[in-house]
Amino acid sequence: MDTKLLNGTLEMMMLEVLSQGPSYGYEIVQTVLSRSGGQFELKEGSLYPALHRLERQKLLSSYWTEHEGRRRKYYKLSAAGRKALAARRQEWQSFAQGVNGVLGLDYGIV
Amino acid sequence: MFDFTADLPPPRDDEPASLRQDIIDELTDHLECATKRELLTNTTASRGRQSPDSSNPPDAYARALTRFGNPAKIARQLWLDAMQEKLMAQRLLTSLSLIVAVAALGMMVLVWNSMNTNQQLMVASLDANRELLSQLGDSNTRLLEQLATTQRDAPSTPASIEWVPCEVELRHGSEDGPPAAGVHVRLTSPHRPAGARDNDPESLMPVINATTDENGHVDLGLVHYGYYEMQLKMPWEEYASTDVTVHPGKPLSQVIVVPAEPLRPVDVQVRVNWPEGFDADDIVVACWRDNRTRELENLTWYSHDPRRYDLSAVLGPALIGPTGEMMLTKLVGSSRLDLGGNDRIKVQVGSDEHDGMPLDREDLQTVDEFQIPDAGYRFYGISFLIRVDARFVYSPLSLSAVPYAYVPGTYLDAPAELLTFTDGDTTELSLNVPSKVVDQIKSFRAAIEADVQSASEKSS
Repeated sequence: MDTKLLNGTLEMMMLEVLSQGPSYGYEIVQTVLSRSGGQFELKEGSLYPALHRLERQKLLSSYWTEHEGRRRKYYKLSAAGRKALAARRQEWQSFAQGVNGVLGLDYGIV
Repeated sequence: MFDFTADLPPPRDDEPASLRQDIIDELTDHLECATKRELLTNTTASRGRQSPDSSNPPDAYARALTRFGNPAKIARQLWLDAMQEKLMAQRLLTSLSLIVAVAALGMMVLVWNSMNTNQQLMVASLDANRELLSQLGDSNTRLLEQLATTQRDAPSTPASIEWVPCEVELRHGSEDGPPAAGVHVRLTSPHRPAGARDNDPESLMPVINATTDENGHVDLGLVHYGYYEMQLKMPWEEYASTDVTVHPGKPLSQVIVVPAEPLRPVDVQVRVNWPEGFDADDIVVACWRDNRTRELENLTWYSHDPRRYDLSAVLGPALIGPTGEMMLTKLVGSSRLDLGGNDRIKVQVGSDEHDGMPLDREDLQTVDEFQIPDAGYRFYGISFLIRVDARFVYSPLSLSAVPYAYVPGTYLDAPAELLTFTDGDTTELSLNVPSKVVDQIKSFRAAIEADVQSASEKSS
């Protein structure tokens, strides 16, 4: 998968994953990988800076739990994050619809 | 275990306490999860391939670490992202401090330059002022020289009748006597207000001060016609004054006779000659000098004798009791006894200790006070012993004396018949008391005795 295409949608996908419930870094990677059919494998070097950035933007909040003797950081979507996700989904749909239109995918043309 | 802190910057004071540990814990958890998944995945796969190392935890950890990338670099990036705001604020603060420091330095340089410039301007201004003052001084000197030249040339102008030349010649003793040098001559208007300055610009004629030369001559220059007073002052502080009239168009040239020599000091002893058998113990005799003047060629000469009060009349007041005992007081000059109280007697002295006569002055100060021994103690009289040791600067001498007599509580002024005597170079003067004065003194004494008698009768 082209990373340039992925970068633009990374934050939206993380917000989408967290809209299903609180999760932590590794689980988010696995969820995205699973739900994309193995297309999108988030790299740790992109994942954690993006999660921290969204947290500073108050779109995410976090808390710590104890798991098998280790500390684990969970992220969850805030109210502001939920609004941002809705806006980005709308944005993506418009974008995808436009691209599909140009490519003729809506009409079954290849 | 991997060292996530390898690339982290050194700890900072403003760094949140849990930041580093949170980053490490989060990445460690991620790595542990990835390792566990590697183990599970490869354990399942190895069952088919019979690979001996596929389920080895260290290998799984290594593979997870390889997939992870560089955890230390990620940890550093997370730390920098978290601290970005503070780092930027610190950089901004540092930049601002630097700018302020540079601005302050620039301001100091500007001020220093300004001070230097001002100092140079002040120095230049001072130099210019000095130059200006010098030029003004030269200009004033030239103007004064021109004024003096104009004054000198004025008498030669035939048309000038208002300003006439005046000169005076002073001679000792007589008009044919030797020239009097060093005599100060002062010509002034008699109507001149007191305290006016000699060079009062509003005065038509300024005061002229001059001193005679070795020929006794003094040139007073041009004088406006009018009435003047000429004051003459000898080198020994003896002076006289005379009126001078300056007529228009008529130069004044006058010869004035001045004393030939200073006054000669004379030591004088005064003796009071009382009538035979007269008890003078309770009599005060005070002496003083007359005005010291002398007449010479219709001019009255006065003396500024600094020893004006050289007449030393030392009075020794004494209180005499009914049994004849005497209570001597201090020797004082201007003194009186205050007998007004019933139990105390004060000796008071005036500020002028050598005058000898201020018997009723208001500025007397009490210098001695006596307690009367008992209530019935009465005084019938006061004796003043008089000794006059005078050193006069005048010859001839004019000396006057007035007798006084006292009664308790007050003093009586004798009928003021001045006993005046004049003697030339006599150093011992005898004062003869007229019989009339003696009779009056006897009368006062009788009054005192009557008062004492009355008081004694009352007390007994």
